[in-house]
Amino acid sequence: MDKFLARHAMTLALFGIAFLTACGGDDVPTAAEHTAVACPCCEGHQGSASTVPSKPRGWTTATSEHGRFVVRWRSRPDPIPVNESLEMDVEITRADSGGDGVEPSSDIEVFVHAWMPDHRHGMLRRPVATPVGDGVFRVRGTLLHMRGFWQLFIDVVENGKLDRAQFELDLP
Amino acid sequence: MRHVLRLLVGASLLAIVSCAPKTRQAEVATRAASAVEVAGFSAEELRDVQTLSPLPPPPPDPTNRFESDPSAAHLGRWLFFDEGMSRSGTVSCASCHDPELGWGDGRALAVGEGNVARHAMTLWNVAYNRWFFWDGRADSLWSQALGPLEDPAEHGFTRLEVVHRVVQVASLRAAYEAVFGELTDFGDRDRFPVRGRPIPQDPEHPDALAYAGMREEDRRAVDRVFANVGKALAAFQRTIVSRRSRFDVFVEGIAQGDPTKLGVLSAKEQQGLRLFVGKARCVTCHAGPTFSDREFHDTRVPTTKTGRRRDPGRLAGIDLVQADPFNGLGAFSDSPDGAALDKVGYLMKTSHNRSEFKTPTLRNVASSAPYMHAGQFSSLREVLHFYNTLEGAAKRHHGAENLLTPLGLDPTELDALEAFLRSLSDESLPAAVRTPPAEPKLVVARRG
Repeated sequence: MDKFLARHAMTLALFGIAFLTACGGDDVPTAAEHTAVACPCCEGHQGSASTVPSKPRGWTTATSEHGRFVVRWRSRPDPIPVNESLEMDVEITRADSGGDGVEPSSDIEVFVHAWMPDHRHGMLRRPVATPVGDGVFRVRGTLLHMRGFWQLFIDVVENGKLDRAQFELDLP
Repeated sequence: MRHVLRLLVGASLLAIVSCAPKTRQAEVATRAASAVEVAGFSAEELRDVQTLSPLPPPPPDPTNRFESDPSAAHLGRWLFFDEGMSRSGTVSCASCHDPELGWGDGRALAVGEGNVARHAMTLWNVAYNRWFFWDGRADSLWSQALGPLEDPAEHGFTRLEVVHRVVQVASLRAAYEAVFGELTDFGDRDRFPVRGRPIPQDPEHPDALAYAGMREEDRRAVDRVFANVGKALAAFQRTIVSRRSRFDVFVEGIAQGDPTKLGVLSAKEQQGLRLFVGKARCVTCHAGPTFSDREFHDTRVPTTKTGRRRDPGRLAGIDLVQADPFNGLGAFSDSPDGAALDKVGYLMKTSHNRSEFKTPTLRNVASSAPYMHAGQFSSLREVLHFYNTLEGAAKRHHGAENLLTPLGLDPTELDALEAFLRSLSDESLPAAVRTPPAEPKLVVARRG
């Protein structure tokens, strides 16, 4: 029973979306809904998405492995486009700042990596993080070229010591 | 449990019908039913299928501001078929990219002025690529076009010979100047030798010495004309587009709930499509409307029996594209700080790049045999057999990605998958694109 529900969870979810969308009267469905299910609503719609859009994630936060930093990031654009370039905003604060958001010293460096453990490969680009002040970094060069499960690592290096924050992404 | 699912599906469909405006209820019900039941696809399969079509127009290449110029495309078409752009006067781009052979040559390994180490890729939808050549050593269609002209095994020409030909053939010169502006004087053979090109791996070669002996500004002038020839060739190759196969009509049928369009794929082809996005997971790499993720993988296809070391593929391609003076960051790019920066500027070489090759498009795949970077397989069935069994697969490199497992499809499923791949054909290109124009310069007829 559980296995069956798990296997068909996507199907049930999609029909749930169809149910909610259909009850919106004459509202135009979103692009995501159009590509998620066959669209009976508007004749002639052909769409051009090459990947199934995921939901916006907004800011995502984690504490680094050694507990020194709180790292949060967001993608621009959001949701993350599969196999297209994106920029990231990364904010670093000290975990021991008592929630005051005290930014680290100015000589901190940030490196971004990503890895698909199921495929045993990573990104094909090396993103570059540029500090813009107050512990905020703008990251260019990120491109997640395949659908599936990714691990995203944001490495924070201060005084030669590395501390890593890890995030998980499932790109549909 | 299956009954529960059916009830839920039925309830959802009922909800769609009951909540839709009354005037459209019957129509909506028919379409919903046709989308889910007539095609026999799950919602997840339909979602994945719809990521594969329609194919939008080719993406812009801001590094080539002439890419949409009809006169440049016309000139490029003439150049594409011009055998004068080769050492022997017998090799043109069309020699290895024959429009009657799926814009390939039908050979395992290409043959130009000599024997080429790799298979000639089809040019169908080439403008959609992110990288060019099997190893991605070019980052634009125009910079790709320059490589074969100077490859001793392909055209065997040099950039100085290209420039002299453009200058000396009056009709060609007129067409060039109509697009790119007046040519400077290249007539002084002391400043502009008959032959010459840079050869980093053999700087003592006479052609390399001839090029190196030129003044810097003269080299720059030659390189400018050479780059423009590439931009004209790219403007033409952007027109080699295939976008409306029977599969595309089928996907329109899904979106529109049109049973006629849904009927263009046979039951066997639809089964193959379900395998493509499902059990066989071809869509993992052959993703999106181009049927390619536009990146590189080591598919472990058997090595060729030429005694050569295993082709390094993308591992070498990354070095080459970053060093290419004609890449998108270079002096001849029309947008050196735009998208090219995202591509070449952040490119990274990793351990798994060894022996990786570009994922080819599958559109018109039925007409582009043989297959793989060295033409290892002569038929689609051989390709499918390989992925189904991994028989003869090359060893995985240390650090290589791990995408492949034997598929274990039965013969009926292999038949279905092949039938689906054959449904991706659309060779309905205007006849004029397949032949050279009478003159290199586009003549626009005056009205009245």
